[in-house]
Amino acid sequence: MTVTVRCHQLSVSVDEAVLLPETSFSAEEPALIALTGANGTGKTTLLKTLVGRQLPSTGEGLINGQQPYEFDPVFRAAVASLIDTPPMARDMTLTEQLALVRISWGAEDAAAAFTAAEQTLQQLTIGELGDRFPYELSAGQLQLFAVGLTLSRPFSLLLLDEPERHLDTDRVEALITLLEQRVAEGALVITATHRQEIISRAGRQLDLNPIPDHQ
Amino acid sequence: MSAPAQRLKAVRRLYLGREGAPTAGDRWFSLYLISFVTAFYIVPVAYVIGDFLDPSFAGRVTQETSEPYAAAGVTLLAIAALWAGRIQGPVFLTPFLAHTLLATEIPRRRVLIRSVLTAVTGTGLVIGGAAAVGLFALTHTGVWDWSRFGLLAAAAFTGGLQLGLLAFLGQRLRRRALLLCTGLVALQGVAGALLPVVNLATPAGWAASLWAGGPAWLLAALVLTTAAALVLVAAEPAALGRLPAERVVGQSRRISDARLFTSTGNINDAVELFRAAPAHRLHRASVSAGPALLSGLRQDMVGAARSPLSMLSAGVLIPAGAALLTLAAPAAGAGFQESNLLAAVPLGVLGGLLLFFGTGPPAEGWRQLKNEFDAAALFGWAPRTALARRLLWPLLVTGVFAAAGAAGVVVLSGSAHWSEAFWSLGLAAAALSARFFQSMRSRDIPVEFLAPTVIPGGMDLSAVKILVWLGDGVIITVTAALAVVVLPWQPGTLAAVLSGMVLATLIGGWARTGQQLSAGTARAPRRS
Repeated sequence: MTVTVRCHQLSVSVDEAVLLPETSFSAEEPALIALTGANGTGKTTLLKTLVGRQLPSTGEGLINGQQPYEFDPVFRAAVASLIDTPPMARDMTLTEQLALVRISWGAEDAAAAFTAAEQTLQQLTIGELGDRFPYELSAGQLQLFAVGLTLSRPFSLLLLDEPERHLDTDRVEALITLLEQRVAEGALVITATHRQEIISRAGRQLDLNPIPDHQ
Repeated sequence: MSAPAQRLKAVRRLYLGREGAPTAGDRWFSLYLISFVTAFYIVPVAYVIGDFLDPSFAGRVTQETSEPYAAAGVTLLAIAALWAGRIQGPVFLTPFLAHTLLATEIPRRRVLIRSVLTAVTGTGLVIGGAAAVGLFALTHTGVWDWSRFGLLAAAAFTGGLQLGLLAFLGQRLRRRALLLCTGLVALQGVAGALLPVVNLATPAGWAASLWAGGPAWLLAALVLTTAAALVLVAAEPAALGRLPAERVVGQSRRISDARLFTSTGNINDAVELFRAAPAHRLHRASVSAGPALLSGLRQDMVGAARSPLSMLSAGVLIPAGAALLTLAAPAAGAGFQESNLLAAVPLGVLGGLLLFFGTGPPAEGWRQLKNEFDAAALFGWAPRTALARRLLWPLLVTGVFAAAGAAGVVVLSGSAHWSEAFWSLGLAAAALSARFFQSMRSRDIPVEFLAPTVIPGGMDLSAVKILVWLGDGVIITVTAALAVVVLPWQPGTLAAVLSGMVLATLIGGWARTGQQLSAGTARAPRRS
C-alpha cells in the first residue's frame, strides 16, 4: 500500500519561539527523503507533527489526506517512527525483543519471528549480539538495535530522526542499504539527517534551512 | 494477521517467559505474606483497638450528625484521586511493552484493560481492607451489628473501585477537563456541606449515608454507590481507547524507574522523578546582586514561581497537615483521653506525614545548599552565609501555610482551640527541622551501613539501619506527632521537649554537612 504525505504552510510555534517555520511539501511515491537543516531548524518538530505528537500552529500536515491521529488503528498500522530512543526491556535479549515486536504485529509462529529477528540483526551488522541484553551494548550498537526495533514492524511510512547517531561509516552504509530495501518494497521513508552519505543516496532532499536573502 | 487476542496472548507468553519475570511461586509467596500479616498482625490489632475503644466515643463518630463530615471526607478523597491519577494513573505497563503494543493497530482497550482492572481492583482491595480494620474495631464495641459491618466493608471496596476509576479519569482527561471535573466534585461537596439535603443526590452523600445513615437507607445507599461505580466502569472502554500513547509510555517509564531506584534504596532519585517540571522561565530574575540574605530569598521565590505546581502541593499539604494536627492535638495536656486515641493517632500520623511532605517544595533551596557544600570549591560562600541565604523562604512558607491551616480549624469549629493550634505549629517546626536533617544527608547510603550488624541472637540489623537512614525525616516527624498526641503532657514539658527535638535535629543536620558555622569559607564535604 502506498502512502502520501502533504504539508501545506505547516508551522509550529510555542509562545514566541518558532520551532518550525512555514513549510510546504508533498511526497506521493515510495522514496528515501533526506530531511536536512542546521540544528534548531525544525526537523524533529516536523517529524513529531507528522506522527501526531505535536499540533501545528498554522497550516496542516496530512498522511493519506488525513490529519495524523494516533487513535485511528489504520494510521498506527501505516506509520512507524524512531524519534526518541525507544524503551527497551532490561531483562530480554535483543533477539527476544525483536521477535516480540514481530509477534505483536501478527507473526504466525514464534520460531519464524525469532528467525526473522536474527536476520534483522545480521542486516544491521550486529548478528553476533542477539543473545546480549541492552545494557551490554555500546552506544552505536544500541542505536542499531533501536533501528531494528522500528524496522521489525510493518509500515508504509517510516519517519526517522537522525538514525545515524553514534554510527561509524560502515554501519551507516548498512543502515542505508536497509532503508533502500524498504523503499524498494514500497515504503516512503523520511529521515532527518546530517550525514552526507545518506543525503547523497536519498532520492530527494528536503532542506529546512532558511533561503538566503539576495537583496 | 492473527486475531488481536491471540497476538496479545503470544506477546504475553513470550514476555512472561523472560529472565527475571515473576514466577507463579513468587505470586503464591506474596499471597502467603499478605495472609500471614493479616491473620497474625492486622486482625489482632483491630481486635485490641476495638477492646480499647470507648463505646460512647464510637457512638459519637457514627451517629447521624457526623454524616456531613463523612460526605466532605469522601469529596476530598475523590479530588485527591483525580489529581493523583494525573501524576501517576492506574494504566501503565512496563515501558517496553507499552511502547511496543500501543504502536500496533490492536485496540488500546484490549491492550490496557488488564492493567487498569488490576490497578483499580487493587485500590478497591487496599481501601476496603484498611476500612475493614477500622470497621472491625467499631463493630467490636457494639455500635453496629455484624451484618452492617459486611455491608460497610463491601461499600468501602466499591468506594475504592470508584477512587481507582477517578484516578484513571485524572490520567485520561486533558487539563481543562480535569479542572472542570474537579470543580464539579468540589461543588457537590460544598453544596452538600451547606445544604445537607443535597447529599441525597450525590455519590459522596450516598457513601456518607452508609457510614452514618439510618438502617432504612442503608441498602439503597449501597445500591446507589455501586451504581455510581458501574457508571464509571461503563465509561472506561471509550476512555481507554483515547488514552495518548505518549502519556502512558511516559508514566510507565517513570514508575518503572522509580521502582528500580526504590529497590536499590535511592529514594531521593525515585522522588526526583515525580518533581514538577519548571513551567515558567524568569531566568533573569534569579540572578541578582545585593545582600546574600535577600539574593537567596529571591532565588527561592523565583524557583517557586517557576514550578507553581510544587508550590500548590505545599499550599495544600501543609495547611491540611496543620489542620489535622490541630484536630488531633486535644489529646495533649488537659484534653488527653485514652478513648480518643483511635481517632487522634491516625489523624496525628496523617497530619505529620502531610506536613513533612508539604515542606519539600519550599525547602528545595536546602537541596541546593547541600550541593553548594558538596561543591565547595565552586561557590565559596562562608557556611553561615550559605545557610542564611536559604533559611528565610522555607520558614516563611511553612509558617504561613501551617498557621493558615491551624487557624482555619479554630475559626470553622467556632471554639477556642488556640492551644491546639499552637501545638500544631510546633509540629510544623519539627517537620521543617526534620526536612533540614534529611536534606543535609549524602545521596548515597553510607558504606558502613552495608556491613552486617549482628546482635546477640544472630539477627542482622543492617537492613533496619538502612531503612531508618532512608526514612529519617519521616520517622522524626511522625515520632514528634505521636509524642504530642499519645502522651499526657503538661504544656511546659511538651514545649520544652518539642524545642529540644527541633534544636537537636537542626544540629544533627548541620553536623551532616561537616561545615563549621564560624569558618570563613566552606570546606570539602564529608560523607554522612
